[in-house]
Amino acid sequence: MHVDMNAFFASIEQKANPRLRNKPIIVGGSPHSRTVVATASYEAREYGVKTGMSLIEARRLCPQAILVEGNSAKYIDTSLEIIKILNKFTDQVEIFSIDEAFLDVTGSQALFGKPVEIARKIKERLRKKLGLTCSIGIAPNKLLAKLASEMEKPDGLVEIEEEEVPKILTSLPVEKLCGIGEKTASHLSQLGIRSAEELGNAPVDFLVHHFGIIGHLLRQMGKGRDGSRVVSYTEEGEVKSMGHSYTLPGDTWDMEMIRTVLLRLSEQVGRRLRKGGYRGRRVTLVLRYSDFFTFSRDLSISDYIDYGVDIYYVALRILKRIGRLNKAVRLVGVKVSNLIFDSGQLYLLESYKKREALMGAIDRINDKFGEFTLHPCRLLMETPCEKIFPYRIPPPQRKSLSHLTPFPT
Amino acid sequence: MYEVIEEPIHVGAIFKGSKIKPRWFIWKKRKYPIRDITFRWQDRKGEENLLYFSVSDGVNTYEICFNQKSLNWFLSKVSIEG
Repeated sequence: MHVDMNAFFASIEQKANPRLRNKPIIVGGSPHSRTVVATASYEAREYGVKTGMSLIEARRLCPQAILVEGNSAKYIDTSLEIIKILNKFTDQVEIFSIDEAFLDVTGSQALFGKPVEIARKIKERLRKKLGLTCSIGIAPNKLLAKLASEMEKPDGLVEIEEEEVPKILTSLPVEKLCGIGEKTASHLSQLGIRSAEELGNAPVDFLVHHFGIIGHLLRQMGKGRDGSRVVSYTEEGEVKSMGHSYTLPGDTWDMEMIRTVLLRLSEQVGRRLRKGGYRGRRVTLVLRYSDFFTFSRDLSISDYIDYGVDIYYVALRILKRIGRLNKAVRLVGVKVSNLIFDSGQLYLLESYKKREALMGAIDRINDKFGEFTLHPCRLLMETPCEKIFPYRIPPPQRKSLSHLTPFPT
Repeated sequence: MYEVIEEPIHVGAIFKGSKIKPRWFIWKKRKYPIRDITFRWQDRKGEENLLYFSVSDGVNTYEICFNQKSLNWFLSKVSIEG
């Protein structure tokens, strides 16, 4: 079963503020920044406004749309409430994103009835408790359940039975299958494969030749098969990386600004690493230029690090290697990967011990009084990034859901 | 749409078990009845747990907040028509 909250952020804002109901609204960052659409209400979507679109483009399509500045705490807390509700029906809940989850209800049917009945109960509970609607897809596997939930929006409930699958796949565009993005769909189209059925019937050698190892997977997807199981958030695997990115309020050539943003991002990544007890030794710098061309470069170092300033210096080394900017920058991101879980390292050198004690004290102060209560002086400079949102969804049992990504940057 | 206020307010609320139901608040010497709690959520600032309520007096929508550590209320935002 796949549960997809309808226009999640926008619906919350419309629920919270009656004046926004039945109106086209756009949830994004600050109206004074160059934000993108995080979510648009269904009223705004009728004008073609879509998630990820620049605010300028959205306003061109729907000038009367009301821009609401997003509130990540509100959405994360609501997401946690949703998970609590879903957990009443099954302990097999896989969090797919802040507003989507997969459920395995195989073991819950004796208690709550058939999947369709469970879905109805979930919808009713979500509406009653939070005043929100969702679309639910029910199918033999996750791929098809996700497809089913997309079929009826808003407030839909679609079940795909095993015998219906071939008929559904016949004319289904490949990009409707979760996991096939724009690039893959375009590549497939060039090869003459446009529908899921065509993908499922394509020779596996042909797909492997063009897509490598994922050729096997693509063929299975084309046949509507998905062997992956629902992985409950209580059993999710190791965190592989942690990162943050930020879209600047305006395209910039200003290296000082880029460095300042980079330091702030690095501090945030370091804080998350330390909170989770991780250290990493590969740092990735991401830059997106004004023409949306995005590139990333990484650098592996010998030591495992978890301090913001250390991450920052590695990111700076990468930045120096890049040299002069060819175009103005619109987004900066930093990520740390190749992680190890570190329950606490003992240092022999006095200087390291002192540093550890200092960082520990800073962390405790920030824990008590809030993030960035103490921070590097460089950040006292006017920085544009008051709100930076990470781009990975960690399992909630490890920490809070405060790392979910409410706003695409 | 929303105007950030962040000012202390006096609030009349019913505490029932773990549920808090604000009924009215006084801001700038004026009393505002709470006709509807339209949404609630919580946030943290360091050690402080903040409970937020979107409330309506039938005309405007307000975001009020209860700091569970200091036990203070404040008016966070106001949404006024226009």
